[in-house]
Amino acid sequence: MDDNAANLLAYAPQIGEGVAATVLLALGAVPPAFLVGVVLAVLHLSRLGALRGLAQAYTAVFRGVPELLILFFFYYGIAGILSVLLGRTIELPDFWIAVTALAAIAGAYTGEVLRGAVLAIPAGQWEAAASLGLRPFQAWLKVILPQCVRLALPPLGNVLLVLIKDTALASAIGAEEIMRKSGIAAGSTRSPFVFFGAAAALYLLVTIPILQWQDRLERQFDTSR
Amino acid sequence: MTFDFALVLDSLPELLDATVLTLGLTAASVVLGVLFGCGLGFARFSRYRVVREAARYYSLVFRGTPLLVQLFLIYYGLGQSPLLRGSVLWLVLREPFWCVSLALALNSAAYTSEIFRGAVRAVPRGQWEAATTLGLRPAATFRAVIGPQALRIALPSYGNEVVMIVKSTALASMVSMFDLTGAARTLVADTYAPYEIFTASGAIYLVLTAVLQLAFKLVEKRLELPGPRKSRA
Repeated sequence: MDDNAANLLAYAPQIGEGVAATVLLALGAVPPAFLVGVVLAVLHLSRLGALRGLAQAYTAVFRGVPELLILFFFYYGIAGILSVLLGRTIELPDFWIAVTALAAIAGAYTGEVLRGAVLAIPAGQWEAAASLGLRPFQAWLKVILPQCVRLALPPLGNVLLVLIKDTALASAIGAEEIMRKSGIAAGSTRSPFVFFGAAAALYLLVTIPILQWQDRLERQFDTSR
Repeated sequence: MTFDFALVLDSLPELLDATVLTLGLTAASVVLGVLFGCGLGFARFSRYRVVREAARYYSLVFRGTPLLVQLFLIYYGLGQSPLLRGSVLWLVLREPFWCVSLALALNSAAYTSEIFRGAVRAVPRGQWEAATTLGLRPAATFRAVIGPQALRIALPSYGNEVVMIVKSTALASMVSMFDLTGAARTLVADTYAPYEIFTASGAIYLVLTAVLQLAFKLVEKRLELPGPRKSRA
């Protein structure tokens, strides 16, 4: 056991770097994922069938294909596509490829959440706003959006949770995050249980508060008992 | 950069071969996951607080950590224990197939127990009271009254869970198994044709998940009660 403690201590700086990279991966993916989600939601709610079809196709692919395969596709493919588009050879750091892929995946789920939130607002709210003399834009801003935020927040918490866990897959394409760092430590000290256990504990530090927040919300809305 | 369809056709037999392993992992994980998950689901309703809390924490820990950590703990971590290496369990757990299936099943059990718990709680309380009034004991009440209703409520969510399992089997490639994703990686390394190979394997996954979703829809239809309804989601 003392050996394990000494090992953990020796690799603590490395693991710390991994934690920082994991946090940056997740934080870096949040803004583009939200952007993708908003665009998808707008397309989903569009009057044009072609745009709706586009959003549906994107969502079906990014929710139906394993995250790991999407990461590999981006890893091997995105630089090539960009190189052809821009007409010169492009090289991207693994970290940013991972951020892009994670954002593309989380964006698909975000789009579904936002679409659901908008559709869940009763039509009467639009009608009431109109009868009060609000223009569509005002109605949207003052009546619909605030209600959407409340509806979308819990499921968006879930999207964030999944995103944080998916950052672990970035280790497969060389991002130097928690899993990769603890994998290296586990290999050279021959104590996988200790280091992967430590990695699990580090993820739990962030995820347990989110899960408990969800539980609390669920209890608030639970009318069955 | 052109998309080489001939290459897709050439690699298809190998990819379909690997799909068999993906399906095998899915089947093993679904069966084990349902067993563990329902056990945990019942534990959430135990009359003993310790049991309830233990099941709750299990669910928190398994839903709060990446599946990859869980897989590595089982695949690399368990072999570290001399106790396990000496036991009969090792005959099973030294096989990567069963390591992956076990990790997927333990993970899925956490989600399944949440679905189970939510569905059972969603059955109106009056159903329990009515069954008790009719003289049914708790076990009989669950089997004949609550269970069937909860099953209908749980089925759509559980369908999503099975789709998640199919996607999660891709992690098998991280412990050097040749499932669909593993085979795709190897083929890409051999041919250096990432677009063709990954698109083809992605399409196979999409077909698998679409078929499963359709199957669940059909079962839901079959179990649906007659009469006007809806808006109970």
